[in-house]
Amino acid sequence: MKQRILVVNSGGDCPGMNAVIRAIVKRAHQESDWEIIGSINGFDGILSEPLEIIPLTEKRVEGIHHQGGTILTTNNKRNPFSYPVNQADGSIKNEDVSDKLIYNLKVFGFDAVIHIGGNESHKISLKLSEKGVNIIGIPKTINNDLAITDYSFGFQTAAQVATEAVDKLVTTANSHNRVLILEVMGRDAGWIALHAAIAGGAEVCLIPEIPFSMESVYKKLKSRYSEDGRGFANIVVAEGAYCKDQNGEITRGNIARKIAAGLKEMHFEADIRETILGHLQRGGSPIAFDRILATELGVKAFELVKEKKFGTMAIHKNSELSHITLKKVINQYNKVDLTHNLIHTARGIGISFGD
Amino acid sequence: MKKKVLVLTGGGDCPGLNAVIRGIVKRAAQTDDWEVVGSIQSFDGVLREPTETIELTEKRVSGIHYQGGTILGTTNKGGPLAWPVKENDGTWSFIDRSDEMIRKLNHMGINAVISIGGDGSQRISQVLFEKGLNIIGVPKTIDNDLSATDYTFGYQTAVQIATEAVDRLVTTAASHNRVIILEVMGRDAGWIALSSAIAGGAEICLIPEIPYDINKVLGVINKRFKDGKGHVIMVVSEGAKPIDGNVLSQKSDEIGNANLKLGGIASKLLKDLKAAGCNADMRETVLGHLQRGGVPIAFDRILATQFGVKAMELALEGDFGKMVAYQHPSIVAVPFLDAISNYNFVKPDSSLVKTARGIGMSFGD
Repeated sequence: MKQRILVVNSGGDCPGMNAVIRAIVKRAHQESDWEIIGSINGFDGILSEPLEIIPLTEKRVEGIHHQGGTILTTNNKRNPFSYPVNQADGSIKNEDVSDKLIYNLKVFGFDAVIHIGGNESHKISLKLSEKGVNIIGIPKTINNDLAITDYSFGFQTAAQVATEAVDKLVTTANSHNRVLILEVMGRDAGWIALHAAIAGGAEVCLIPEIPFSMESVYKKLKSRYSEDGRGFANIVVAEGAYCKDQNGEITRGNIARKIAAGLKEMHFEADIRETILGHLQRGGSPIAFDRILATELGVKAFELVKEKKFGTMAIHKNSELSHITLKKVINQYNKVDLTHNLIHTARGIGISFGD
Repeated sequence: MKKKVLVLTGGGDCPGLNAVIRGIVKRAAQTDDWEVVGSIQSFDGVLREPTETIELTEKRVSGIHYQGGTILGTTNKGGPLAWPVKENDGTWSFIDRSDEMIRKLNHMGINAVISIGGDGSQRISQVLFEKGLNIIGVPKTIDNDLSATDYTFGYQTAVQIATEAVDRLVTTAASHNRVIILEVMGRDAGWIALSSAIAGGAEICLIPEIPYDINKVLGVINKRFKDGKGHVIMVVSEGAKPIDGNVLSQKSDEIGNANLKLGGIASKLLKDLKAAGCNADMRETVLGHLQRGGVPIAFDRILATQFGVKAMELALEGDFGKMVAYQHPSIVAVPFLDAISNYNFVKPDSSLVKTARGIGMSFGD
């Protein structure tokens, strides 16, 4: 009988997930005794009755590596340890259904699980691993916020999309002498904003790691409108960036709008507009960099299954693939380090962080 | 009086050169006492009479980071160590004008030189450094073939362009049941071919580091057609070579260009496959200089900007004789000698090759 691997993806989607799935399947098909099955919508597929799982043949995954999203669909609200279950009285209560999950894996003959997901997903992986599930993780985060891998797929595509947005906003800001504010993803880590600001050439970059003050932003913008200034400005702001005023009061959320409103309140003379990039950063075809990385991680994850190195995650470290135990993965967050060379470079070309 | 740094670009162009120039100028503008001058067409601008240099102000470099090419122009011929001179009989000879050039730079009040270029340029920089010139290098190679740095700018853009070419060729190959061969850059290192083959999903990838056997290549094609997947995409480096043969090249007809002109491997493969008995319909695409043109992707702009800022800071610190390099996650400075002594070839046991083989790609070996 063939050995079966269940592929599960959870958390928000990001470009490259399909390339991972394709790589796992293509790698498995180099040998004759493996079967790859996909669980629909995170763990829902293996938990629902009847099961919602699909055989992932080579034909099924053909050409999917350049499609964004995931053919398995995904969900960031499904935790088998706190899973919504319909009660007899019609209400819904969250219950621990991990035993049912493990039972289903056993009954349907799954030898291993490959779980593609972000920080929260790997906490689930670790718990399942501790309960005896043969599980391998693959890191997925659009925010580049996992510390244990040098790169995660999807991030470079998001940075590229955000950069192209800055390119476009620069020409229109220049034409109308406006201040344009671009809000990008990054709740706790400002990597996308930092990359797009440097690559696109913004004057102000606001990230969660560096609290900003409106006075400082105002001053920087003012200099752009001085006699020898360029008469327009672009701001890139991470959604999680926050403003701290002299009294230590913090403003966060809807940050692009709040900055625009704040500048108007301070009587900044130029016209100010905002753009919120939103899910454009998660959609579309992954750039070559991410497709390659995703393919590498997919192949590596299969090989970790084959070598029975369960309870680990495939990672890309120091230009090579390797693996790390899930225990070490948890709680290692990759925020922008203020001594990082990118911060140094940004300041070196005159970008202000509003600090 | 302000101190002056001279910037020049040498060797073949690649996306990101302008972002380096802008990075240098913007970093210099953060100081009060430095200005930046650009030499037109590598060192030629300095060597010519009258001198061809331009002032690089912040205004001049505004917005150039997303333009491909180099606003300074470039050349991969001649240079201070081998300046071409036409003799009376019409032949060309080459003379060393380096001492004269260094004197001229002193006369022009240049305090530091930043040379952006490939391994040839870095070699020239080392000679000039030994002669006492305050020089700093920025690596530039579209082929990603320098081992001192994890990546060079321009390379990821080239991979992206080659990948998009594979994307397009896949759909037309599948519609017509064809074998399509895509020839990409890579004289000695197959990075662009390997990366775009993985990202685009080619079945066969031929690179200089792994000589191919034409019969093995034919075997893969025949198997694909037999298995009912009636099309094949093959990505080949211009420097790919058969196990029993040599790389295809011809001498460049440009004066002073020592590089051999590579190319033609796609047509050769087409011919050789036919001769070996391949009866599938085959087509070739040679990507050529599309790989060097256009807007750099974000990755390359960021890397180029980091290189520019770091190079300018080495000038501020008076730390000469070094080339900037990316060693994840840091930007470092390495001596020219280390930088030019090691090439970065694709290692047959690297994770990238393993990944390619892992998804069933053939290297024709």
